[in-house]
Amino acid sequence: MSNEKMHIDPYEKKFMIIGIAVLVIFAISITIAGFMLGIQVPSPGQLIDPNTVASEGPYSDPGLKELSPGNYELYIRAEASPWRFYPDEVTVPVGSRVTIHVTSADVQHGFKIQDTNVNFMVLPGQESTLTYTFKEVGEYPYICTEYCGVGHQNMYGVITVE
Amino acid sequence: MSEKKVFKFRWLHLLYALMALVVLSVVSFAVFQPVKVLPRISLAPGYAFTNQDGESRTSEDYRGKLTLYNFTYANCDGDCPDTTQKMEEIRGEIEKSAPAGIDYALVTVTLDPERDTPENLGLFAAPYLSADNSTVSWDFITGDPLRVRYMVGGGFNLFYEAEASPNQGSDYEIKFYPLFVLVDGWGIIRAEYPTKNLDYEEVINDINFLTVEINNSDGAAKYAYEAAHLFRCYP
Repeated sequence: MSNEKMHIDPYEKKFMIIGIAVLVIFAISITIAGFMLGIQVPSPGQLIDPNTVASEGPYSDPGLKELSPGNYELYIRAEASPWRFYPDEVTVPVGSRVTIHVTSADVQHGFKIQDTNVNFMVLPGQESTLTYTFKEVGEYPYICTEYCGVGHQNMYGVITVE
Repeated sequence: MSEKKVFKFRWLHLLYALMALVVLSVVSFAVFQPVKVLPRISLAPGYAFTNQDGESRTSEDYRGKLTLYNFTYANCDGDCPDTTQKMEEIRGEIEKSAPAGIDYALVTVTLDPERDTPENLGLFAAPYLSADNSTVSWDFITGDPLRVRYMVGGGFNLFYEAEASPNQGSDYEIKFYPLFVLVDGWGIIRAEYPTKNLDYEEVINDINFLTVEINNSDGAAKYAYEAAHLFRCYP
């Protein structure tokens, strides 16, 4: 009886095999999805050309727009030259359902509205979209949450709900 | 030693095999997408409007039909992104190359219901419907301005607003971005094309996808399609 091999408990061995198998399966699926099928998030419908966002399309005229009574869409463009959001002051009637679209014209930014669950990355070439209903009166500041350059701390705005 | 190598069947092995089978089939279904579907974006709005002949048209009239919507208004000229000509082109393409056995419909919604009465819309629609022997129905619809806003803005998420016009003849114009919407026979929005120069091949391609789903999604295959919808990334 040779004791050269390390003793592994049979159950532990099974778990190790399962664990390694799962890693292999996921590695293979990610490789297939990413390189063979070209699956990328987000969907092509949310892609946008960052070179033209400031000159054409809804981001060239950003701000709050009333789709139907009580139902709004808000387009915000983040820019790093100078560092700011367009627009940086928005007034929303209380109880409004607002679909917020944010995109960047240059580098990666973040977008967070204080005291809400609205918080996402803002990437050049992509649209970040979320719907939020402002149920309470007050001021909701929004800030850039990802370091984007020397003027990062100047990137903020406020949504006034009244 | 040799005793250890003898494989003994245990129920636990069957359980492992079953689990592996389930995991593998789910992963391969998600990765290889044997069944491809267009996403269900959202429910299309309900409405009851009037067409260019003064007849009533409601969202229920388009149940069971693949319906392509576009949005414009009769005084749309100059820089205005009128897509009605594109609709005419797509109509011809649907007649020519879309799968048979499915009902198709086109609907043009006015964004200027104040001025676009059914009579005015009739004048606007006349050139498009003049030699009308098409199998694809085409309605130009208008209604109460507030109802139109609820349908177009609230239902199709298209923003439009009136602006003072620099053009001669019309005292205001409507500002909007071009949009086509494909709605299936169940009243669900399946594709949105926010462009003026819509490529008809894209629409025909999407229609083909939808037709395959409509024709095959009964019985057991229905669950395969439902599963395919689960693996779509919704916007």
